[in-house]
Amino acid sequence: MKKVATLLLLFACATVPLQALSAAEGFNKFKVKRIVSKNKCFKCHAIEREKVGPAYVNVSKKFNEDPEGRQKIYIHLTTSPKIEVEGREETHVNLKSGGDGDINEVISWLLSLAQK
Amino acid sequence: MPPSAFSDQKPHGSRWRFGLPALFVAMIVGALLTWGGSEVVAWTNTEAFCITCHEMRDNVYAEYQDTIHDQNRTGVRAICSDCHVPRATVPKMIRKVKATFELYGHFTGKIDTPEKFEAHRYDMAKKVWTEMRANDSRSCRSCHDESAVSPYLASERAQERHKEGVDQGLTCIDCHFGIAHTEPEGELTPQELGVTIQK
Repeated sequence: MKKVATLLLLFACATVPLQALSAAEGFNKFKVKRIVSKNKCFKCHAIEREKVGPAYVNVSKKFNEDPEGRQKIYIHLTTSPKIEVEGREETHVNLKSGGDGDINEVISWLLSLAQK
Repeated sequence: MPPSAFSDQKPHGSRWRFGLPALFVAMIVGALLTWGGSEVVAWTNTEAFCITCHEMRDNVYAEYQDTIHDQNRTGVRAICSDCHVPRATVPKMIRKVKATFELYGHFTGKIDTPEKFEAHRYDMAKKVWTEMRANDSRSCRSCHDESAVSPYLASERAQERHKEGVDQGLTCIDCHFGIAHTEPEGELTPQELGVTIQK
């Protein structure tokens, strides 16, 4: 009985960091990749490399330390802002998703890239 | 013709009696082997064949699902062989020979776990990017024809970008990487691999 209790306690302790990790991440990476792919974000952005748009890891580094970074990215993804691409002005495409929950998951994923 | 009384040679007729049927059988066997070989090659080009290897099914195929080459408005799909196996006969057979060496990796478990696959992803991607750069993205062009892009249907942004790409001497994979499959962690883009495009 004592052994079972000890094992159960060890198991509970082992899962706490895992639970904390998934809570801290705040996103499902497969779902996020699917949203990003469906919105054709990868046409202009790559994760680690530059395309016509900045690499997501560089975007993440830029906003990760900014206390308003999450809000700024949210505005960028939802208000069709004007952007400069290779000397030309274009309109950034809005992220189409299931709602604010999905957008926030995408932003969480984006911000996590700088921490790798 | 009856055998001659002055000769012990076999009459000429028996040569035809044996030779013709043998030739006919050889032709049938040759035709069957050709047809059979062609069917085997076609079978190895199917999606179902590619994903019999779990390394493909659980990694790059899973990533490819729901991308534009898998599901889209018109239902026109590009499967594994459309991008990774040339259509022309000689390049196709060369690729098939190379693929048999990939079996070695399968049987030795080189990429048989997600961790091992990720560790080799960049190397595998570089091989594909190198090949696509070297043949000017031939597999893309087997479906996508630049001259057939309608100026009324393609977005202005796409038309401008493609024109710039052509002016800069780029090939499709230089921009359109990391779309069908997850972009690998690594430094170089396809353009930076130092491979000359052979138009």
